[in-house]
Amino acid sequence: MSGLSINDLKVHFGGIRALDGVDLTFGSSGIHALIGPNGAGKTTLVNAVTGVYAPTAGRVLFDGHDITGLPAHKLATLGVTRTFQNLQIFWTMSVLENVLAGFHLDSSAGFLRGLLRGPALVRRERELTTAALGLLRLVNLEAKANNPADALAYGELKRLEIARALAGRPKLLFLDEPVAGCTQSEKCDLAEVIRNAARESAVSVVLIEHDMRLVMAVSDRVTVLAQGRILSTGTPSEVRADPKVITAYLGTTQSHLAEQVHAVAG
Amino acid sequence: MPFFPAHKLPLAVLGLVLVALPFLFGGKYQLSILILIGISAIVCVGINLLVGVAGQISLGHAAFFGIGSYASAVFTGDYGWNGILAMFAGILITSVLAATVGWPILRLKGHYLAMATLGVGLVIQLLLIQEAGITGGPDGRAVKALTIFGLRVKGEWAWYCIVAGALFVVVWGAQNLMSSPWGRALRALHASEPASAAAGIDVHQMKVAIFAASAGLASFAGSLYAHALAFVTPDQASFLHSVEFVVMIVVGGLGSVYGSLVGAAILIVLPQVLSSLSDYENLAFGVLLILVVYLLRKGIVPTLRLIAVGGGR
Ligand SMILES: Nc1ncnc2c1ncn2[C@@H]1O[C@H](COP(=O)(O)OP(=O)(O)O)[C@@H](O)[C@H]1O
Ligand SMILES: [Mg+2]
Repeated sequence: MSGLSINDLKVHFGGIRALDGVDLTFGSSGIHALIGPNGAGKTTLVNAVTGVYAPTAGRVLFDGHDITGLPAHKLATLGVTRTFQNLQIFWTMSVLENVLAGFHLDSSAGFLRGLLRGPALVRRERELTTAALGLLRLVNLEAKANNPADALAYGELKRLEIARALAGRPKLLFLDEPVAGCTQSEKCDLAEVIRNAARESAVSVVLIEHDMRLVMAVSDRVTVLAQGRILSTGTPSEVRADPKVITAYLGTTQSHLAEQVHAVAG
Repeated sequence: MPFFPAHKLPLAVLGLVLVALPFLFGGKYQLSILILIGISAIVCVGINLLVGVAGQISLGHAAFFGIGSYASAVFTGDYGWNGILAMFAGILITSVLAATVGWPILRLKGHYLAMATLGVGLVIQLLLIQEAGITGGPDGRAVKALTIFGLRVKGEWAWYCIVAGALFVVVWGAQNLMSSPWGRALRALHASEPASAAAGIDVHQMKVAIFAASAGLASFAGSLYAHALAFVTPDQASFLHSVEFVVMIVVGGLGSVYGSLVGAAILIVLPQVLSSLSDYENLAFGVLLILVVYLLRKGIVPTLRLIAVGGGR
């Protein structure tokens, strides 16, 4: 079976059941949104699947292989990668170098090859630089390619993370709140980028996002997580019609979310 | 096509400086100081890749320097090996040892890693002192002269040429590494381990690799030192010597290849210059170090570079 399949995944932190038996599948294409109130366990799910946390119980299969508990760099070689909710930027590097680092698996990254720096390496670096500039153009950062990363604004850094993740040519890409803190127009641009990436690079995207308008607009499927369990899953229209979802959102203090769900639903 | 690629300029300048130095400071004593600087600089280039670039502290690298020294002393003296062979055996032994101890301890971070490397260094030095039958104990032992292709390396000039040549090659390799994907991955894991791993970088393996490589380089320098001075003592493997290397790269500039050279030069020349102050030598040395680190936070070379490109501080 292609795609990712999560079976009865549990992640407990002491007494906290961040994930409490999640069954979920992500197909090999399309955009699958993962929504839910803060603390629902969305980031934990990404961490448990991408090798940051070892699951307490459960199994994760990717393209038929058992990838449960594999470390993050191994998952990257299999084509599973992610961006981070709280930015993880290579601050000491330029914008371009950040993306080039994302090409690690595609580069001449051996120690001896680096030491000797032969013509093959130089040629490969030139090719990768061109590719990296292409990705930066995609996220509208090409003009800042040679700026130090720490000179970028928040929204730009979010886009840089997406470009860097795409550099790994993933089959499955987790975007953990990629547009948080962006302006409305930046959000629209990013929605476009995510949609294009999903279509053109044949990457299956798992999108964690609070902006319901964006979620409903770009997603093929939506899963709602609450208190470590799946509340509802289906197409955007199915999920927004699900009374459990509306109740859950109304039941939380995040009433702006509830309003959004209502607004979109109504 | 440009006549001379700009990124090769620093290396060309280094070459010129290395050639010019012995003509400017050609006395026997001055040459011996230059040799000492070159040997320390070789160690510092490696440690700077580990500490400055990859962000992994080591307070035990003098021990690896010591293993190289003793490998050369023992293999040439007791087993009659060729000096070059002994040197490479030392590098191999040290790198394998460093990779073996590095594998568990490089899972530690920050202060804990500092303590663990300090411990490794102390144990190694202790062994060098205790195994007196092989090492000569606390008094050390004499080392045979190095022969290359049947020629005995003798005198300060010959040693200067060897050390300067070795340093040049080491700097060339380090510069290559720094501008390669491998070096980029080292910088990346220093900046963010989660993001590096997500990009497919095997963070732990990279740390072990640079730890072992820098240890091997320290061992190589230790071998040169043993032959050049014709004598080794356990002091070369001491904690104080380890700290000295780290101070050199901090003063010269963390993460800067040329900073390693400048730091080594300053830390070795300064005490010589200050020795005229006799009683106040250590005081003056300490105050100068504090001033340098305080005024040039990033180290000498990176600060000068910032000033040169007009970035101010
Ligand atoms: N490393 C951790 N240690 C302890 N508790 C954690 C850890 N990571 C997450 N949690 C807890 O797990 C729950 C889910 O968190 P998280 O996955 O970040 O939620 P979301 O991303 O949906 O907002 C929260 O109660 C959070 O406090
Ligand atoms: Mg989260």
